[in-house]
Amino acid sequence: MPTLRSVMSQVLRLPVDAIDDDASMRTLPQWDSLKHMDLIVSLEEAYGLTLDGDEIAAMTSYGAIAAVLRRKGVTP
Amino acid sequence: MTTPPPTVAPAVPPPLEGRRALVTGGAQGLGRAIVDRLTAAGAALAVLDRDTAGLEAVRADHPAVVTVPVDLTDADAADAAVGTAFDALDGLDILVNNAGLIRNAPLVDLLRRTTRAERLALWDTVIATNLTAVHAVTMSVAERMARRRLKGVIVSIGSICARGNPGQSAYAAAKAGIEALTATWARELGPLGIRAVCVAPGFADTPSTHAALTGARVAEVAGEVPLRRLGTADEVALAVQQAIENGYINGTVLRVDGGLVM
Repeated sequence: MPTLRSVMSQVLRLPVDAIDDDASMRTLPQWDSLKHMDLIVSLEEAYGLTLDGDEIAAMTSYGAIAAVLRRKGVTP
Repeated sequence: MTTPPPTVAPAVPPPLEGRRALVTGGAQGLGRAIVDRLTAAGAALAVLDRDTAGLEAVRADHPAVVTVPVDLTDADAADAAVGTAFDALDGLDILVNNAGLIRNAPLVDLLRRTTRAERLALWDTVIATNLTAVHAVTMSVAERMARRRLKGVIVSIGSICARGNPGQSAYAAAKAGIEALTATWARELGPLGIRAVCVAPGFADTPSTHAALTGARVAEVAGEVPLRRLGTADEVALAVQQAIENGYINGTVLRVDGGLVM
């Protein structure tokens, strides 16, 4: 199972080490609303889960995504 | 033996000397580059724009240019402004439909940062400025040209985004509409001696490009262009001049995109 950092780096076309714990839509200009849709689809495919509207709207940082994944039993 | 006098080449008149052009949105950015180029080529110019400070700057550099402040999305005001320009220059041979704006909105906003109503309002704004106003201004100019039996050309600024660009439904649709209008006007006005040409830039290094895209995205786009750089405003303006000068270019899209395919 890929790590959250590797999924994000692939979608955002950034090196894995550019995705630090503080990474967010504010700190990464590549992470815009269109890339966010790609990211959600990639996360659902990578981890075999479905994200609801509230979760999708809240997942605007590495930490927020990791928290949602943990709640769903996935280790980011 | 006496030295022959130096030969003096006959003076070549500027290529657009005696031509009269109306440029919309000519106060800044790409429009300003078009104004500078057409003026240098000898054309008499009128500029319509709602940017009054930008119009003052145009007049400071080109005192002979007629400037008319106007919001072109108001069809009546636009028609009156066209009338002012037409009368001031005693006719028009060239219209450059350049005025427009770039706004982005995803079709689906999973982040819930905008409401559907806000995105629909943005659609209306972009279509009104980039498509409906172009139609209205061209109608106003073409009617006056036809009545006076003036021949000429309508050059409209399109975009590489006419072939689709994520996050730009309205802008892409408007620019695709410009291409359709160009093809339509070429056939409709051709018998009157009025041509229609669309000049479609790729990503040009203009303030509107930098306002619409993040610095990272601009760098990314530049890297995707086969020439590895953005175009310049003057390179687009040169294409406009070429479309004006070549009397057999009609009903087509002249792409100025460095080879970028979206």
